[in-house]
Amino acid sequence: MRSLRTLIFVALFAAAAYGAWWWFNQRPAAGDTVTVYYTKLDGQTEVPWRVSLGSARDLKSVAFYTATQVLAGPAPGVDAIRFPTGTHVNAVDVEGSTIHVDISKEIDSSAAGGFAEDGEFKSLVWTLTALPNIKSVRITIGGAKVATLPGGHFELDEPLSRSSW
Amino acid sequence: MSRFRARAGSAFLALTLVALCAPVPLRAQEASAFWFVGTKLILERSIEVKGDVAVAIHDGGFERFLGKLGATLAFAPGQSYVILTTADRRTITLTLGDAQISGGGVTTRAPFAPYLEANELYVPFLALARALYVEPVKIGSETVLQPQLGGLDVRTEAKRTTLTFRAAIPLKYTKIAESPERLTIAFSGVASTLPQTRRLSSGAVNEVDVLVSGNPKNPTTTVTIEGPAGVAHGLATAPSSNELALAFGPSGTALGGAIPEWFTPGITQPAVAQALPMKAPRTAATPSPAPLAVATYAPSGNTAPVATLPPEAIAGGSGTQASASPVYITDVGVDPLGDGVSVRVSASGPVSYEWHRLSDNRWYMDFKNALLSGSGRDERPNVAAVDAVRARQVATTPIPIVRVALTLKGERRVEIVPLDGGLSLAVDGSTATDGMRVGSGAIGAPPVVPAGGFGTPYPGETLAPGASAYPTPLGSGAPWKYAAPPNGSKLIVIDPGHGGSDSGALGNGLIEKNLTLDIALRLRALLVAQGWTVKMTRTTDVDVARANAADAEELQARVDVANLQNARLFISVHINSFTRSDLNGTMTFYTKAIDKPLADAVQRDLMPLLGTKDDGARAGRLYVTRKTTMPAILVETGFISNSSDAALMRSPDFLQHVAQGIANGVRDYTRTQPASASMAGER
Repeated sequence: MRSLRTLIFVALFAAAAYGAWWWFNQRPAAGDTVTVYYTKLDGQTEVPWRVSLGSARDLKSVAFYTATQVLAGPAPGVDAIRFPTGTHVNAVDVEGSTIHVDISKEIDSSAAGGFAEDGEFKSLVWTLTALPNIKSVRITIGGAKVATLPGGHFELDEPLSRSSW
Repeated sequence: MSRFRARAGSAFLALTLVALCAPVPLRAQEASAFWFVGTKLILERSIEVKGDVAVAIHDGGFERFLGKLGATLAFAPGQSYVILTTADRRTITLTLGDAQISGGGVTTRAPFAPYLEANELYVPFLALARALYVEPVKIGSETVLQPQLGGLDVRTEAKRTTLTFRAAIPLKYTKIAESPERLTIAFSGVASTLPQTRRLSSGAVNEVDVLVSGNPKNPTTTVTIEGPAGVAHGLATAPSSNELALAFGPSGTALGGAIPEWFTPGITQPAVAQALPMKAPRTAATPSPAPLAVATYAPSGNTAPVATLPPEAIAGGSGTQASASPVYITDVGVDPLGDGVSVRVSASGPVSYEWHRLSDNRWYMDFKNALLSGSGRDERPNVAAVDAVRARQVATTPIPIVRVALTLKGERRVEIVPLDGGLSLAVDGSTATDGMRVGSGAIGAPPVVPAGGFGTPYPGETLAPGASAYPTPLGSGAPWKYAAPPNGSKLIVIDPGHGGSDSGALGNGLIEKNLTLDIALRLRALLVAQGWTVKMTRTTDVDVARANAADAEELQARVDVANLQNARLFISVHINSFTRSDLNGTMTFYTKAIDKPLADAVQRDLMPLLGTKDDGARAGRLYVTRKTTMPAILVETGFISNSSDAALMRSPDFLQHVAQGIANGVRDYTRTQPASASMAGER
């Protein structure tokens, strides 16, 4: 009788554990969100939008996620200054209050002027400095520190903060 | 015994639980094969898992699959998110250990979660394909990965409705029929997950009908858009080649350009400037689109992961082209450029060329193994430097040759500027001084040093080690940037943006580096007339630091001109550009606090003279304005990507007005800002 109770107890425990695992994996992605900014076509106004996070919450993962959202830009049809097509985040690292973002070389394909470069990086810096305890953003391109993008307008050789604008 | 049974039962349940929670079974990998847009796609590093296929993100087949879709995957070791960005800017998010896939507001569930094994990330391939608008379709023993027309955005503003169709791959389409109430377009190579009928109440569109036909490996989706009578339509700007945006609204509203009879990515059709009202009903069949370059595709070897089909079977037409296949010269356009012209040549694929300069001022470029779309071109532009521009099919056998010929008025310089899908021949009226008579290159080849004698070498020509492409010193023989300052308080440095190997922005037949130099030279004359001493960072089309200098070196050389000579002001002249052609206007950038009064004065004095949109003086962290120690501004004169601004910038009068506006701004600024105040060095 006692062994039967033990068996039932184990079965119930296993069912509860499985149920918890199932619920954890079924819950909607919506819930916790993060704020991402894009720059309007006036080149100056930052507009926030909220995007749902997946299950990871550690700062490095969230920074990677939000930086990727910035580079992808807002939904199609929204008027925004956008990074060149194909530009993506290679890697993100958190260095104290600075986030280091390495951006792929597709950004070099932009033949845009200072107006577009200014708007692109402004949205990235606004977004990442909205994360807890993050004050500045260090940007590298294809793993290398650069002074500017090819053609040379916006300066990238030092960490950027909101006060850079 | 009963205790033993209980323990055995507990162990069994625990093992069952572990098995249920385990992300994937551990098995040896096996290749998976699919049929995908005319090719056999083989995923070498994959394994079947729970009805899906786990594929390594660095598998060659998977990378080709994403490349065909124009999608990029971002993942970095040490964090949890895996994010794909599609060509139409949707993001699709997966999380390590989580089976959910979310993107575009839709969350689905994959049979298993992404997992790491031996430092490689594996993702659920089929579930991911569906999120990317690619539907796996089982046909017998084969699985066809069928690209879909998967999205339709409807946007209504005022009386204008824009329909944006979005697909997995670049859209290739043919206009089938057009009438006052109905527009029918066939998209080849894609099926559809859109509803068969969608009714709208926008006022400009009543209904969108979708019909899929053809075979599963090469489907066609025909879309018919019905609207009320009297509505016109046009081709709106789509942000990517995977999208087609059509605008509908009352006649007379801005609806973009006319919808072409056909469109194939990579092949340019002659542009039609304005949206057209609905045409009369068509009775004849629409002409067939011009063929893709007729390529011969050699079957790949057994070991190659991708086998190919004839190009007709390849949606998007992006198959590899054999070297024996002719390429089409799809467009030859002629635009005015200063005293000369800019000749744009568009090609359907990579093609080599050879150019010759003859002694009687004729200059021609032959495109080998090329066919000319249309009947050729014969233009006589009314400009000082060029008498005629012609494009002809000069040979068809043994290999077809297209010739673009210029009859020049004198020994004029011809610069070859590589463009996406073609090139531009820029004749701005200046004199050729290089003595070069022949050269060669290729469209679609890696960029080469621009030819044309602007101080940079021709392809194949090299500069002596350490030699500068800009050897001309200013002053009395001393290197210009080390010359003693003539008078710091009276010196203004003008920096014509870009130059030499850096053309800056290109658009509407214009080249930024030429315009900035033109304006800067005019500005120099005006400032000298005001009594200033002026130094230019460049006076011809050259790199400032040295030929092909790195960006930082080039920019620092420009900054050095002003900083080392203790200049009173630094003025950089640029032309703006943007990916969208509707942005226009003039803006002046500043960085330091001491820059702002100068930027405000120049912007204020520019606007009454230009007639462009006033985009204001604005703060920006630009290299040249930040690194200079004196008041410095960067004037973005207008958008080269905007046809209205570009039309203005073709006019010498406009360029003179730009120079005059800046000079007026300098005059007004220096009246109110004594040199000692502006040299305070505040940052």
